[in-house]
Amino acid sequence: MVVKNLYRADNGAMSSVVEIKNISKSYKLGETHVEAIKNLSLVVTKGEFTALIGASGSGKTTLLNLIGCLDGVDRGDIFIDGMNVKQLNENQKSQLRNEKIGFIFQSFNLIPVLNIYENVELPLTVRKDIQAPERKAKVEAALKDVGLSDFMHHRPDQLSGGQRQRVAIARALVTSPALILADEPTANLDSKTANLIIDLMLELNKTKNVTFFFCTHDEKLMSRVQKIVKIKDGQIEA
Amino acid sequence: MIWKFAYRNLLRNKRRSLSTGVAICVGFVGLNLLGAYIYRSKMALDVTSVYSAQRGHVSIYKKDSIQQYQIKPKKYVFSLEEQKQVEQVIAEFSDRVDFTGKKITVPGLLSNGTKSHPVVIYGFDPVAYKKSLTQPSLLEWASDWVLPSQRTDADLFIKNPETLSITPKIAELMSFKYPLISNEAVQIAARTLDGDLNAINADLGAEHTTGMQFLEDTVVLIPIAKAQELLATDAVESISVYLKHDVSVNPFIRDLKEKISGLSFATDLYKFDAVEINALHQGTMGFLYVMGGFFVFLICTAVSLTIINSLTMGIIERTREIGTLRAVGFKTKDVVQLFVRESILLSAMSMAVGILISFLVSSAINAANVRFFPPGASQKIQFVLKWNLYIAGAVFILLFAIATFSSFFVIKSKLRTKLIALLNDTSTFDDDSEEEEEAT
Ligand SMILES: Nc1ncnc2c1ncn2[C@@H]1O[C@H](COP(=O)(O)OP(=O)(O)OP(=O)(O)O)[C@@H](O)[C@H]1O
Ligand SMILES: [Mg+2]
Repeated sequence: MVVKNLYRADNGAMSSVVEIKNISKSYKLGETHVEAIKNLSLVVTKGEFTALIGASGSGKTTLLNLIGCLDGVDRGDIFIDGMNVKQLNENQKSQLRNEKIGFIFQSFNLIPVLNIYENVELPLTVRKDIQAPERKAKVEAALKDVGLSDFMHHRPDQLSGGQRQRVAIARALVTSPALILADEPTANLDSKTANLIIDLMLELNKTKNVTFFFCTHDEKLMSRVQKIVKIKDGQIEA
Repeated sequence: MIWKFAYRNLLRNKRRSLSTGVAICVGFVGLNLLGAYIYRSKMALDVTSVYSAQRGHVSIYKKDSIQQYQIKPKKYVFSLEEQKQVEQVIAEFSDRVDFTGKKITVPGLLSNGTKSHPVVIYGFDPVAYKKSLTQPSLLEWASDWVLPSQRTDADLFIKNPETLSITPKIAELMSFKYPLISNEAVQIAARTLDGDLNAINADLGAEHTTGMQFLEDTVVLIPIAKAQELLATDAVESISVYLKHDVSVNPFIRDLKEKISGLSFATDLYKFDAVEINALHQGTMGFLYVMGGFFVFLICTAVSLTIINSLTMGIIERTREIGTLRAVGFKTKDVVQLFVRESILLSAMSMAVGILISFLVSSAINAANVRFFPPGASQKIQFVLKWNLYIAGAVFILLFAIATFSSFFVIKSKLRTKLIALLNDTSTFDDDSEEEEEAT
């Protein structure tokens, strides 16, 4: 990757996975501008388990999309693993997402025609540096981590919602990313299953030191989370 | 993995893939059969021009003879001495030349004592004539364009140099009785090269066809020695050069031109399909190419639109999936590759089936022995689809390129959508595709 020179000089001084500096993002809706994120700054350090909470429309999804390089900021800078994403072109952003970020979506976003194994393998298929045997080992390990080794050959539609979300977690895990982003990962699940998913995420955080940054509406989950960031009208609340 | 992915995506909406596949397949078969028809027409025209019409691959004339021979015949023929010189030049190309034949034509009158009929008398080389009519390529491509008796009678002219051959049409016009027998004397009359009237006897004993309606009531064939006797000359109008199998004609003409230009008299060389000596070939092929081009355009457009249409619809349902692929790190080129591979797979499979169908259809048509009148022909010929792998290959490449380009175009334009918009698309949810599959 040609982004080496984009690393900040002070990289490594502290192990921040995400460093957000004064970002703003607004949407145009006809004549009006909606300021979804206003001059927001935030740091996520390695190994953190962070929940982003806030009312509907407060800007949670917008912030996650910006961190995940799915959308671009209007102003300010975002550093992922020390890299300024503003300076990356689309292909470099794809590569950054592939290597550094895992995504868990609210509605799972599994590929219906691929079986569980293949869904998890998907992010690795575009990696030239990982050979087949290593790829297989990684996929199997990720499936084991989420407890779905026995379901490898099932199709997504043969699984329950909780199982599907675990597949999505395995897919996010398989590249050993610096950060996993999850936008309301439990919103489509019943509360018991939701708890199990959070359990799994917490366990992965504890045992594998995986950094999670996720947003949720669910008040009950908050008690279980190490760090809570509140957002209101596009700004962090103290 | 990506191939497998592409393959499964095709199975995702079987009805749509099937209809696209059918469009590609039908287009493939259509172009194949059209190509086979045009190819067979060209080959038939080529071999009849070279062999039945006795033009050889190259006809050598005195310069401007084509325009002037009728007016000043004596000036535009090859004298015996000139013939020898031309033959010497041709002899240098013995590695490429199969045989040669001399020709002379003259308008005249055919009569049997009771009736007369204006004709064009073709004096030809009987040995070259026999060799021509027994060419395997003539049999292969235009067996209909030569009367069966013509082939069996080909050495009649060698055995009896007095033999004259007429067409069935002339036989009808002059009320000749079948079977034509070689002791029925007929007279042919014409002006000699010096302009004097002359008439000689000949033996009516053979039948031929020109294959062309407009020539069918005018052409009589007679060995050249006999024609020369009638014209009171030892000159010839042209020398036809027949090349060996697989010799390229154009380079040969180039080489021959260079050598022959060293002679003391100027010559004109014409390829067998040159418009000056063979307007029919040019006209027919020109028409077929225009018609063929029109159909190629039509079919390609239809195939392309079908692919664009079905892919555009398919892609709408997969918008969020494309967003997901991009999110997990697929570059735009990776996504493009996936969709292009789907189209490659589909077109390859469709055309594999298409090859089979083309084969079956052409075999069935050939076996059915459909006969028709090609424009300007003197008799019905069989509608034959001679199918070959070059045509299939060319059509394959053409449709393949169109399919690939069409899918490339659709996915490329889809990828212009912002990633976030792809991911937020609500037109489908990825888990309800099974309903769609059951519906098919
Ligand atoms: N694509 C868009 N176009 C216009 N406005 C948008 C768009 N996406 C978000 N917004 C606006 O930006 C603000 C923040 O939206 P965002 O989706 O980030 O909120 P959220 O915190 O994720 O809400 P929820 O909890 O309901 O998911 C809202 O006012 C929303 O209306
Ligand atoms: Mg949201």
